[in-house]
Amino acid sequence: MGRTIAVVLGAGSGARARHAVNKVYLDLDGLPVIARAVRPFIDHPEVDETYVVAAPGELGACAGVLADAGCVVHGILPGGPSRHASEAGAVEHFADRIESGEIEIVLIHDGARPIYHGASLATLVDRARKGGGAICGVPLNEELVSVTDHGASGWRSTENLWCAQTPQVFQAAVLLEAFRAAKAAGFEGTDTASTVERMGVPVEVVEGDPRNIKITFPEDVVLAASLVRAP
Amino acid sequence: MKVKSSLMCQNCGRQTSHELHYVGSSLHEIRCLQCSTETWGHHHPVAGYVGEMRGRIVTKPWRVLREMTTEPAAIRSLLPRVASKPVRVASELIEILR
Ligand SMILES: [Zn+2]
Repeated sequence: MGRTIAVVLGAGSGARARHAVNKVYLDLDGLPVIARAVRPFIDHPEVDETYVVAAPGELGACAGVLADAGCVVHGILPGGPSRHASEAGAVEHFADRIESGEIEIVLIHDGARPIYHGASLATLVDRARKGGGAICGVPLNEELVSVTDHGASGWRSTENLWCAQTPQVFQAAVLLEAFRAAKAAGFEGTDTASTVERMGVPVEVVEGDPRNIKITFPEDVVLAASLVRAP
Repeated sequence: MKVKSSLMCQNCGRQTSHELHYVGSSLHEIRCLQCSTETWGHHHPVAGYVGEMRGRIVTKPWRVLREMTTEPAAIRSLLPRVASKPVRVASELIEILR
């Protein structure tokens, strides 16, 4: 079996206001979000190497934050202007090792998800090895309603709808081919799975943990701060 | 300590600059700098501070801990007894109560 590498996306996207801190560097009970996101993969038996993608202007800062947090990673790679570009750049960075068969599995995780504990990782890697790709997800237990100018117009069943999370785990060769095909077609995926799925490769969904939130809204920072304090 | 970061604001409907206010290592408040919508820390600010103080004085008697957790207002009278860094602790407390 080839090697499994973890890539944690911490570049963010879009322009930031002056003096604004990338949300992955926000403090959560004494440890930055990005350090909490990286930790589950360091020394995990399923993961051979861990890399972080940082914004080009934050490579040194990212290295310092991780070092202060005691997170030893194999490298920090420069990200692109979008999530898709960051992923594509990271995968291309490993192209030679993927094509030679040295790297068999690539795992992508959001740097803004600080609550993942690694429990599903072995299952995800196993499913990806067998089928092509596997991601974490949670059932969407919400009522969906269409809203028009005249008000609510109909409720939608969410029976088969799930919220995609990360980690998302793929056979490395499949991922490299998917990103090269996306580039040729001018396609920008919203997440890794969407880029792979358009190739017709099955992506299995493994039930994840609803606490594995992505920090997006202010309430997420408050909730995450509370969750990291939970026993 | 105050830190600025970009987060999605429900009220503005887009990603905006937010100011995060930390007291010690506790998140006290987050405010959208566009619309001033405030998001408070998970607990009442004084209660949250009591929780943090509890961690700082683990070597102190249980009686002191009990007083602090049951009556946040008791912090004021307890400070001289429990704080090894009274000036810093007092300044944090003033920041909360302001
Ligand atoms: Zn706002």
